[in-house]
Amino acid sequence: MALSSLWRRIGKPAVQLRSAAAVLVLLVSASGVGTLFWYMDWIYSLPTDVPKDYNSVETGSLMDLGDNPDSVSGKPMFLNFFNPRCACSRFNVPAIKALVADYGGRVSFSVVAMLPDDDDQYTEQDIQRMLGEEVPVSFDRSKATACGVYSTPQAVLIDAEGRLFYRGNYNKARYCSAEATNYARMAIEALLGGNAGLDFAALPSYGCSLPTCVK
Amino acid sequence: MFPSDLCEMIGRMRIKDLGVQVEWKKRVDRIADLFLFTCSGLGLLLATVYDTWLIAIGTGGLCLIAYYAVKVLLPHRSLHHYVLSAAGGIYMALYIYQMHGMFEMHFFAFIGSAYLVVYQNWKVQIPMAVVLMLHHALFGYLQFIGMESVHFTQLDYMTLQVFVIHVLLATFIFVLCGLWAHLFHRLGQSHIQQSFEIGRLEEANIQKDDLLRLHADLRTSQKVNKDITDSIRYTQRLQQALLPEVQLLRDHFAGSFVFNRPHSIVGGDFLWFRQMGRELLVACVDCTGHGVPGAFMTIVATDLLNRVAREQPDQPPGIMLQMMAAEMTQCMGMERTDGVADGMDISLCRIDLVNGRLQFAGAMSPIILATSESIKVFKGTRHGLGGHVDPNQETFATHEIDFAEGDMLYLFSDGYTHQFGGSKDKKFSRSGLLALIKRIHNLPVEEQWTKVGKAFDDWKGAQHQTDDSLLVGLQLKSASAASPSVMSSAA
Repeated sequence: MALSSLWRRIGKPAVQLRSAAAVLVLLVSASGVGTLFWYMDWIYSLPTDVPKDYNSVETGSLMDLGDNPDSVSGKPMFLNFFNPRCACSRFNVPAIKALVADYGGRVSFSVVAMLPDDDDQYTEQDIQRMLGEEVPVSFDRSKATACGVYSTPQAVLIDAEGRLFYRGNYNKARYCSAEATNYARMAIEALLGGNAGLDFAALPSYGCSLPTCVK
Repeated sequence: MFPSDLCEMIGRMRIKDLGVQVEWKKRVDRIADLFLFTCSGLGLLLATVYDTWLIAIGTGGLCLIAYYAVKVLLPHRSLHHYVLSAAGGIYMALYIYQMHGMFEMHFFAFIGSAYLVVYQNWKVQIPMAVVLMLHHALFGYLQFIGMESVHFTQLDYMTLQVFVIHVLLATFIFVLCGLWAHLFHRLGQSHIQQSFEIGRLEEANIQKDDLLRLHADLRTSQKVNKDITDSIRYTQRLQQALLPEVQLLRDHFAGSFVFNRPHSIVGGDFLWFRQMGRELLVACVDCTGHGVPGAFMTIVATDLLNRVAREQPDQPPGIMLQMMAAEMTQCMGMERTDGVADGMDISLCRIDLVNGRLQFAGAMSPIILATSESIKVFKGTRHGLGGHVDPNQETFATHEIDFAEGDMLYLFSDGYTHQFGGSKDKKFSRSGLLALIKRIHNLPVEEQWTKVGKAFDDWKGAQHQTDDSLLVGLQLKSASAASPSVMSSAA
């Protein structure tokens, strides 16, 4: 509707009144934007809800993942619990690739795709295109239960003896944006260096809940 | 060029400039619409990367609402330009957030700042710069104190030195774009000023051409006017040749005067005189119209009078008028509805000075007889000669009047009595004429002539002359009985 016809219909208010309305709109908009940013930060600062029937798996537990030949190859095993529909998982792809590049020779990397049963959109090739051709992909979600994983993206590091060395976030925060808290890398370094190091077990999990990405 | 014309021209030019500015503002606003929707669309596009739909829709929507609300509420202010500037800063913060601190998203600040140059106003850079400073200061601080999920940069760490360089670069861009905006503004103003000057010169040239053309037209008109005036003056000589010479009146009446004041150089009023044995035929004729058309009618009327006087010399004036009416109807096609509807008022007198007898017939025209005892008005019929009137139905009564030697007979056209003037701008009227005659009829004709002219002029004053005006005074006394005295005037 043309502005003039709008004014004709409602009657043109005084300039002071319109100015006050404009200031009000600006204040509300600015507050709204600020609130949105704050809300998003608040939401994503919360750890993922722990499932009711969750069984924690303690560090040092002997892991039986069955089908993985690397568990007896003498190399530590790094499992990347990954959901291509999870924004956090996607964001962490470069960080994972960097780990594979840096430690691929000494650590056996693999991907556990955490997708619902009815989601057949992603194939092994799709996942490999995202994370690297050489990384084996498993769709066995029971590994998550076995490792005590209840969100994505999560890193699980199992030492050469098949014991759980690290299970948790790639980073302190949801996204791998702070090198100082790059826990996955720190865990690999600690394992390869023979250092029990940090107490990672106390860290809560962040990311998307399973099996579907809620946030 | 007149000052008023100059003012009008400058006014037009300013309106033209204002029109250019309004058009420019509209264009800038259209670009702003495109910019805003593109930014919001980009936010939605980026939302697909890390599923940041809520903040993309919320922030983009609020920016759009703020911008268009301010634009609608205060359409004649430029506040919405500043809102758009601030929105540009917010979009940058949004993109940085959406891409979780992707450093390249900071470059949007440069794009936004460069876009704002379109407003040609360096101050518009300020809101965006302020939003950027607040965003960088707040989010940078929060990230570096270790707050989780604050996405400002993906760099491993940013020292104070890097941060300062970052701020300096941004400041440099904003200052540079502000400077460009200011320079463009000055260039634009200069361009408008030049356009104004060019327009003014073009306008002046058009005015000059107009004046030259008018001058040429005026010269042509003057020549045409002179030709026409010369023709009319020649016509005047012809008309005067047709009118009875004053000498004829002098030969037959002891005293007489003719007050003839045509409306233009030539007129439609005239006096006709013919001697018929011992009788004298006198007619005062008022043809329709004045100026050249009236003068043409006088020729027709003179011819008719001459013909009737020649062919029917013994008929009373009433019959003569009837014959004239019939002739006129026939010769001018008045029986047809598409014929000439013009005609004439006439008072026709047959005067026998020896026996003191007078026959009078009038068509819409009376005569006045002033005796020593009374002033009498003899009215004509209530219709004139000519026009779309059935000549067979027209009758003109002939009055038989006795007079004493020395009585004054006045014949006149309605131009004298219809002249507007006086203190109340009214007609002189027949009663006014009767009062005048009452005052002057005993005076010598010379004085009467003078007073008739003076009364007319005094009454008319500065007013425009209404019509041709003719007033004839005849002293009903044979010239052979007294020394003749005739006065005549024609303006």
